[in-house]
Amino acid sequence: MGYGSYLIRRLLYTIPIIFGISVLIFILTRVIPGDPVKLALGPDATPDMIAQARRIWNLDKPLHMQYIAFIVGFFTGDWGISLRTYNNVLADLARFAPATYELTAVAVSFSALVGILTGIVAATHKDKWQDHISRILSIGGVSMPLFWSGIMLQLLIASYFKLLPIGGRIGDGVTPPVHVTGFYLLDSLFSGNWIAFWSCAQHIILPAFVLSFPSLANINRLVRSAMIDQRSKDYVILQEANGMPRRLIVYKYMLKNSLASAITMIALMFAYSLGGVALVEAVFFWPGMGNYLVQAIHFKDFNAIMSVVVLVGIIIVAANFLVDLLYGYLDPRIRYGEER
Amino acid sequence: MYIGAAVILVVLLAVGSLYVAPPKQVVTQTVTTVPTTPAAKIWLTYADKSSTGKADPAVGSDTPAHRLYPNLYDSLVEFDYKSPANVIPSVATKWDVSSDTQVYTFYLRQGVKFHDGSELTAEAVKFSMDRMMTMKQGVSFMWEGRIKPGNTEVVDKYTVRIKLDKKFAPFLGTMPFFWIVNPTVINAHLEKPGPFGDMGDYGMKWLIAGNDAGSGPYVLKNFKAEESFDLERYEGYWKGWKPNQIYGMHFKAVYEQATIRQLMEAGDCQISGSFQTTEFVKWADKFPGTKVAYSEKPLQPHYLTMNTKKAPFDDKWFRKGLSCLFDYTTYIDQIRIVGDQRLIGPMPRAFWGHNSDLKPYEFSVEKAKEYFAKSKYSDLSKVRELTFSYINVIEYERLAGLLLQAKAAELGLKIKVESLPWGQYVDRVSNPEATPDIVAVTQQGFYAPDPDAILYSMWHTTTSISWSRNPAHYNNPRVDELLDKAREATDQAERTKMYQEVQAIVNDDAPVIFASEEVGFTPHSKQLNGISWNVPYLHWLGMYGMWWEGAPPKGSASAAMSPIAAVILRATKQFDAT
Repeated sequence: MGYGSYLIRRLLYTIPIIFGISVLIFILTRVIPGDPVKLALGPDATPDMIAQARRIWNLDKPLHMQYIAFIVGFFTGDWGISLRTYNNVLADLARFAPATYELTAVAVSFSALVGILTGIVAATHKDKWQDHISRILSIGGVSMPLFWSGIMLQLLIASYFKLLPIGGRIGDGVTPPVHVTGFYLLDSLFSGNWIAFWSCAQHIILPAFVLSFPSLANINRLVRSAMIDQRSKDYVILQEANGMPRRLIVYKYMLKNSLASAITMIALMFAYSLGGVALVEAVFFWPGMGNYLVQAIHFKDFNAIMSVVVLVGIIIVAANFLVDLLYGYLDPRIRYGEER
Repeated sequence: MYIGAAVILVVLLAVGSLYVAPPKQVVTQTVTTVPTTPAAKIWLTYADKSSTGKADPAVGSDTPAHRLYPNLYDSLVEFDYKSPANVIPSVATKWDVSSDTQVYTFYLRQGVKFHDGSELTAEAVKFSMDRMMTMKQGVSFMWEGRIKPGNTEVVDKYTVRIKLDKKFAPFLGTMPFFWIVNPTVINAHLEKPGPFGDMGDYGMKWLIAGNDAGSGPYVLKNFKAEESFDLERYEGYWKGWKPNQIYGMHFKAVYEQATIRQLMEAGDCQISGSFQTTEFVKWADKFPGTKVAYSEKPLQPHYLTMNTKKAPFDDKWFRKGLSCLFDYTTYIDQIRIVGDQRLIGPMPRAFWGHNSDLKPYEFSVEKAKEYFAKSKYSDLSKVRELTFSYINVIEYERLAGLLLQAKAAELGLKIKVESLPWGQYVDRVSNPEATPDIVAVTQQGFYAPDPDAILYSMWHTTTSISWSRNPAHYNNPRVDELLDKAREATDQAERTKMYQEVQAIVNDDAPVIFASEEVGFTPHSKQLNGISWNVPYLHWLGMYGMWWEGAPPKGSASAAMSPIAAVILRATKQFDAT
């Protein structure tokens, strides 16, 4: 027993979860009102046209056949055709998914960095003005709706002060970098395309900043309370009594013990941010999965909804698995506790 | 402590370097792409809250589709953008109609080139019509029952004949919606097996992926579905090009109203679509750099339909009574604001054949009471609570509901105002049991201002059975008879009489509240000219007719490059600061 079997067990749990998600979404999309064929063909469609379209899109087959077709297609790389746009869903997602992940990754990285730093400052200056400001910022961060803070920042910084672009992923006249990962920032660095890099960096700052607020607030609060927790521990008192420099105590020993929960929180925040990313994408017209999913839901675009939800589901399950993995690694008590 | 301060300083410097503007130097936006040319190419940016559209002209029928097709493809005839629009020659220079009006012979002009350089001949026309009617999607409903694959024949290289299986008076007015595709290109991209037998998928997948097989003024480039696309000028277009015409257009899907406004304000977007909030339209009217193009004569009727299959709306007098409880003037002047006009009867006055003898329903509580007294449901307090539904993003419809609710409450009639997602609406209107009591709809007349375009699809019984525009589920055999006869009749005076009778019957029956004739609008930069609203299918974007005055549009909104970036770029020889 031990770490290895712990991991394997955690991994095996993910399979029924993903399967369950796919069945649930499959049923939900077919239960909510709206007929995608009628929506796609428009109000003047004749019954003949509708029947023909149903045949073309295999919607006249029984439900379980449609589900099986989806599952088989998922593994063979055929994620279906969008009933709304008639485009290949996989082809679309190959563009949109990296865009969303890039945005979320930058947002979470930023929130992790700033969240941890401000959490430490707040904890070491407990109940002083630094702590109060941090508290205000965190509560603001979780309470402000993303689309509101997005529009406000956009108005202020992009429109009024004209410091950054209003939206989009890259400037109009700039050719996107050669595709390697789909992450424009990385791709432009790989190919040494500095113009594209600067353009993408400028475009990602504002949306990533907005998206990072809630995560930042959460990480801040978590680190602060974990650090305060640590302060009352025996080893800290011993180190202080021995005359160890303050900086060393805080940044080396206390922080390390607090980080365990902070790091797991960061992984969860990535998944959490995916929930809010649709709003940020709408405001900054960032061509990502969030907005794609919203439009798909409006038009009951089965294939698109299923594909996006299953994809996001996999990411979230993976994030949780990573959390389990890290937590087990960082805190040995967890994995040994499993045995008993 | 010092490390922290140092970290913060470095971060600030790094971020600061990204936006501090260098001393005035012009950085050309098209550094790594198109080399700049002396006569500035006018590129517009069109930002709108809609999809990029289906790029196959036999498949799309909505707003995004009509942003693409008039620019990528040609048709035999086209609209002249006057009000009301007339059909004028395009690829066809003239046409003959047989005496029984069922055979149309079109004579094509020579020298029209597709984008691949091949010539457009009668063969292409036949191929395109056969394709349209085999695939049976998009706007094929206009010709269903009248044209089958095979009805089109090639007489000679520049002459094509179309046979109609039944007479159809509005036929010529529908032809601007028939787009001619390049058979060579389509045949080279068939995907087999497909739903259309030998023809596989008829090239649909290839076209939808963002390609065009057209001969129109623009070529489709950089199509990123649901994100953006470019339309770039086709220099070999048969009509030729004049200076200041639009060279190209970048389309961006932007779903947030506030963002579109900021883009227009900053000059990053020169034109947008017509699904905007009233506040936005008011702003665009007043803002120095923009203006709004309105349709000269409203073409779209806006109705508050009443489900005539469900009590209390099965009683004509009740419906008439409710029609007198709607404050038309307030709705038009204060809620719509954009210059709508009063709708008299089911058809806007811009269409020929409007019955000027009709008496509109007046907003009057006394008159309402009179009508209610005549109905089965004269005791309004006993009537169940009615539901007024509106499509959930359309604010002015919600306000119309509140208007009606307030006045009805004065008489003791309870109305609830509720929003409906589009998907739910589509589902519910197919079934009279599930159709909402009162729902706000805007009717689209598809083809040339022929009364058939408006009246048939709304009031004929067949359309009320399939999913359609008729949530009133109105069935009147006399109306059906007149509509069927009128679409096959050939004498305009005869048709006028029939349509006038239809309007009189429908007006009297009051299956809907005739709320207004809706004005269409496009917000655009003041320097952009030639935007016309006088096409029957609104949201039709014909870029060929537009032109630009003054300094070229700005282009992208990227902030000017910082000194650090400039140094690096110069060092790596990646741009010239000119």
